[in-house]
Formats: sequence, C-alpha cells, structure tokens
Amino acid sequence: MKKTDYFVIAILLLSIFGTIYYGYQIYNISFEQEDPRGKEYLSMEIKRNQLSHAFRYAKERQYEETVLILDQLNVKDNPLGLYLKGYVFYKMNKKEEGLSLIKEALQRSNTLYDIHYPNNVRNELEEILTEISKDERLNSYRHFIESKLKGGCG
Amino acid sequence: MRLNSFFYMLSAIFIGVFGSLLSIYGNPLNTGICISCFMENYAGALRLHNNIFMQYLRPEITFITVGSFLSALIRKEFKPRISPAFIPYFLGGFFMIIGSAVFIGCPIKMLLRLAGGDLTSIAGIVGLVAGVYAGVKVLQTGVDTVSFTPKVVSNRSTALLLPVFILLAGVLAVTKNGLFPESLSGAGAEKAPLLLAIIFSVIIGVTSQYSRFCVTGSARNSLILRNVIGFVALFLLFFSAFMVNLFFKKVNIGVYGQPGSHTAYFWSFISLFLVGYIAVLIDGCPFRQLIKSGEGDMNAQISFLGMLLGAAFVQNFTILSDASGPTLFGKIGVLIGFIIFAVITLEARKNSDA
Repeated sequence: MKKTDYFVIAILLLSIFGTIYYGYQIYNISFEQEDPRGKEYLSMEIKRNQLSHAFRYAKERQYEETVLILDQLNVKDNPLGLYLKGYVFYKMNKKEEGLSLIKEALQRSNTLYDIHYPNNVRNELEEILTEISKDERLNSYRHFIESKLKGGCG
Repeated sequence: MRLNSFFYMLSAIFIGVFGSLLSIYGNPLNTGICISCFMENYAGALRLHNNIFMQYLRPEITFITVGSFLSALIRKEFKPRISPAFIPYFLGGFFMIIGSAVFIGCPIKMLLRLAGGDLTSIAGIVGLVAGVYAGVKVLQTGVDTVSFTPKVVSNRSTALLLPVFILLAGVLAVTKNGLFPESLSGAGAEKAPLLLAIIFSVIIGVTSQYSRFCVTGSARNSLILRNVIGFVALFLLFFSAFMVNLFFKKVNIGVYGQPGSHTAYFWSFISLFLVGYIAVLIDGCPFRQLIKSGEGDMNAQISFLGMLLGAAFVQNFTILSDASGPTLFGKIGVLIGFIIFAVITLEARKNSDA
C-alpha cells in the first residue's frame, strides 16, 4: 500500500463515522408524511392565538405592555413569541437586542417567513431590512435576514 | 510570454471584471458569476425544485456554454469525446454542487467573495488548494487515468444534444413565453440586464474555451508543473474583481455580516476540499465543465447533468448553507461525497496496479 492509500482510507473512515453521526441525527428528526406544511401552519396559528393579546398591544404600539405579557407567557420555546419580543424590542429602539431575538426565532422556524403561510412576517422583515440597511453595525443581521428572505445564494 | 498564457490570464481578468460588474448591475452580491448558484436557479427554472426564490434560467449558464461552443466550432476544436468512466463524472458534477452549496459558492464565487472583502472565503480557498493538492498527489502516485481520459468518437450529433438544448432553452427563456418560471423576489429575481449578461457570458465562454482557463486547473498546474501562470491568473481574477469593486465602492472587508457567507470555517474548508479533489479527478471545476460541454466533451456534459441534479437536491433537501452555517443535510452530503470519491479513488488505484 502506498502512503496516499492510507490518506484516502483515513478520509473514507472519518467520513463514514461522520455520516453515521449526522445520519443518526437525521434519523431522529420526525418527517411528517401527510401535509406537514398544513400542520406547521396550524401549529403557528395556535401559537398566534395564544399570543393574541400581546399582538394586539404591539399593534397599538403599546410596546412595554407587550413585553410584560410576553414575559409572563414565557416565550423562550415559542419562535413566534420570540419573534414578537424581538420586533417589539427593535421598535423600542433596542435594535441589537431585538434583532438577535428575531434571528433566533427565524433560525428556529421557517414557517415564520414562509411565503405560503398567510400570517408570515416577511413584510415586517422587509421594513426592518430597509431601516437597517445603512447601519454598518447591524450588517450581520441584515445579511442573515436577507439570506432567509432570498432563499438562496447571494 | 506565450500567446496562450496571455489569453489564460486575459480570461481570468475577464471573469474577475465581468463577474464584479454583473453583481454591481443586478446579480446577487458577490455572485456576478457562480456556477453552483446559477445551476440552482437553472434547476428551478426547469421545475426540478420548487423554491420560488431560486428560479431563473440564468443567461450566464446558457451563453458561457454557447460562447465555448461557438469558439470550438470556429477553431475546429469541437470534438465529440467520451471515456468509460462517465459515472464518476456524473457523481463528480453532483457532489461539486453539494460542496459548493455548503460553502455557498463555486470556486469562481470563492474568489469573487474575497474580492468583495469577504474574509470567510479564505477558509474555502485553503480547502480548495488542499483538495487540489491531495488530488494531484493521488494522481501522481498511480490512478487508472485511461478510463478517466475521454477519447474522440465519431457520434457528433450526440455531442451536439446538450449545447443545442441549452441554446434552445436560453432562447425560449429570453422570449419569455412563460415556459420557464422566473422568481419575482429573492436571489432568483436579482439579475443583471439581459443583454449585458449575454455579452459578458459569450466573451467569457469564447476566451475560456480558447485559453482552457479553470480555477482548480490553475491551482493543479501550479502544483504539478511548478508553473506560476496558474496562480498568477487566479490572483489576476481576484485583483481585477477587487479593483472593480473598489471603484464602485463595493468592498466591505470583514468576517461578519458578509453577503452569502457563514463563519463555519471547518465546513467551508472541507466542502471546498471535496470540490478541489473531485475537480482534479474529473479534470475541471464546475465552470470548466460548462466550457468543455460546449466543446463536445460528453463526460463534461454528463457532469453538467450531475450538476443540475445536485442543484435540485441542494434546494429540495435544504443542503444550501445560510448565514447561520451549514445544515445537517449539507454536512452529510459532503461526507457522502468523500466516501464515494474515496471508494472511486481506491477502485481506480486497484485498476492502475493491475
């Protein structure tokens, strides 16, 4: 056996181990067979319903009250709640804090910005993008949100 | 300097300048020319995936191939050729797109990203050169290259099928009869003016066919032949794109907040390592496969089909990385690529020993 053979075999073995490791993670993800998107949308609507008071206050621009409600509801595990909290913080001029929560929410659920989901937040995200486009400090958030909205390279 | 070296460097400069200009005039940021991204758009336009933000029959794909085809015809270099190892070529095209998607960009975009000030692409550059080096070492120590080397055959009409299809699809897309869907928003909707894209792409196709320019080929030649022309050409590609970006104030040097990039350096490194390694084995990066497709190289045409399928997989299985890093499917895709090409290498090694 030549030296390069050992190199190729090492890569082969490492890749097999890596594939088993990540393959096991994929195996543990449950893939819904029937109408997964419908279920995702429904689940998002249920979350929206739970947060309806918070949404109402946010719509009326009563941001401090909105935060109080969201804190009481403990939205740590609810991407829609996280998004709303981030959006409200952003509107209260706590931009970085707000954007970081929005980023976390978008990472957790792509239904939030799915164009087919009727209550998606794309318009709000577009507005945020326009507002932060000239702020160099917020560049990383801009590109993150852009990459989610664009759905591809660039 | 020999004429061919001059044209080799000229091709690199054209790709750098036009790549930057196309991005400035409408293509996505740092994505003036990116074969893997454009293949995803192309696959979307052919309805191979349903991401409505990534559907556009990119004229760059069409007219780079057409430019190469015309140049090959005029120079009487249109030679139908094929080798027995067409499956590795198909898989090579497929996994080069998977690797590029995990990095977010083909080897050309890698340099265009750096020219835009995106320092995260350095991990990819190191990975690509390391992959090319590993491929060269494997080739040098004995691989059955006979089955990989295309031989000239007589069936000219078969070799014409793909270039003609690409041209026809391009013409149909330009006439906008609704046959191919086009994104209304997202990356697929970001496009340079059609005429500009066509002119630049034809020039790139013609010069690259003449000079045989290839990003991974440049690195390979420099590593094997100790020929500096390859590295000089790559530097010129980067430098010319950088100067255009500088002129239009589009340089934003940094690591964070770069368009179409992520900071998962390890995955950037190994994904382009895979691309570099495969490109050495199948003789050309995704861009070079387009050029060779236009020349009648049926292995490259098979590779083109592999790239198209890879692009559909990238979108359908969320393999494409985003600003937060590679996805689980992306990681596993790259690893499977390594397994397959390690096996292909060992097999080719065995045949060589025999």
